[in-house]
Amino acid sequence: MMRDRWRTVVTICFIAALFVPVVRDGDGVPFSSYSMYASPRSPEIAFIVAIGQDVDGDDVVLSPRTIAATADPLIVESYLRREVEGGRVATLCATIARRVVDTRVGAIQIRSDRLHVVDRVLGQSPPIKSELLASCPVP
Amino acid sequence: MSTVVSRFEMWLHQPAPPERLAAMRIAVGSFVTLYMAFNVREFDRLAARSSEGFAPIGLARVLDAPLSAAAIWVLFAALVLGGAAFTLGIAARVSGPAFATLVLFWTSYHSSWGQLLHFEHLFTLHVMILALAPTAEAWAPGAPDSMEPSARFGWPLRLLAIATAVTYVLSGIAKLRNSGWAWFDAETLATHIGYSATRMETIGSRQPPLAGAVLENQWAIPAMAAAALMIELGAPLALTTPRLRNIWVTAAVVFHAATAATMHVFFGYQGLAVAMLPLFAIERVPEYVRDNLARFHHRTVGPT
Repeated sequence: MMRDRWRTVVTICFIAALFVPVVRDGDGVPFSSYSMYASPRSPEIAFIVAIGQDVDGDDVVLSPRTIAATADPLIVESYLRREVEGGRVATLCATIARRVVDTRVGAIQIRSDRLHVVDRVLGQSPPIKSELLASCPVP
Repeated sequence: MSTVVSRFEMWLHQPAPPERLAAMRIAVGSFVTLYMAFNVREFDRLAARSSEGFAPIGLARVLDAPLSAAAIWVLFAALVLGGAAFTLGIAARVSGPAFATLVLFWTSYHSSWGQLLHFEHLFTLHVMILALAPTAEAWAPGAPDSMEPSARFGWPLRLLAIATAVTYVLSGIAKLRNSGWAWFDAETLATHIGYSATRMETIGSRQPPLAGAVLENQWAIPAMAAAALMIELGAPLALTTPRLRNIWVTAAVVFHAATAATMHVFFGYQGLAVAMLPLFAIERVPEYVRDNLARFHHRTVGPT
């Protein structure tokens, strides 16, 4: 009986701990508010894009592993954003350039492309605005 | 109110056979160990990272600087070996807590680079619960020949089930809190789907297969948004009756398949229903498979 009562108390404390991130409006590991995709956002979003350039100056799509040495799109995106926000865009460009194995690619561009995400999916609409952040040759 | 409380306590302390908890140890231990092994490239990626962008959270806060490459590979080896030991029930009183600590450390470290990786949170919680539970009283070296069902084995299973249900509820609460009524607006979910698909395109990955189809039929999105919220907030219903449990688990698995197909977002632990196993008598699976194999053999080969 005493043991059962102890288990009930521990269970209630555990449930309370699970709700702490909600009460404190924070996020962490392993207790989280799980607020993924929970907030509305504007359909016009600026993406940090790492793109290859061939000898004619045409875009060549790079793979996630070339860009960030991972297949996880969340990690690729956050890596690009963090390096640009941290002022390390030139280093980022050079790091990506060193990973390129596609012989068509002669240079790397890091750009900020502002896209309407729904129109982009439906009709491949071009960027609303594009800003070149860095450019570097492939060694 | 006292009836609700006493029914909750009866449910919480319901006895379970030690084999059921042992089966959870094997299922969760296998998933997490294989997950670590198959994600060896993540260890490789972080082993090569500079300290730029390192923002430690959780258990990784003990670090002033990122781990060296050697330390990362030691951690990887410890996770795989520790996970194997835990899964097999070897020295469970040591391997359980050790594995849980390693998993918590890795998932904290993995999320310490500016992006919280929520898909690792629930299995971390489950490993932590199992680490402190008597998971090696069956199906483990040195386990007793047989033990009676007991709340000792049932209660940890309830905690696992509660963790699963509450994490879904929290996700639903986050949507209501952050979006409010806008969550039911076609534009909110359409933007999320469009964002995921465009992100995949910009990093050279394939777009989710159903993103375009859903965005071409945005009239269906409010119903999809409502369904997602119902599944998340309705998760505690899975703890009540077998029928509701089966309905909810089916809906949740379909939900995860849909998010994978529309947004390339797939929480493997939930989508493959490992997170839902605490709701079932999974110790009966080997017997079920054996009986059906015998029946199949009898039908095809005939009586001997």
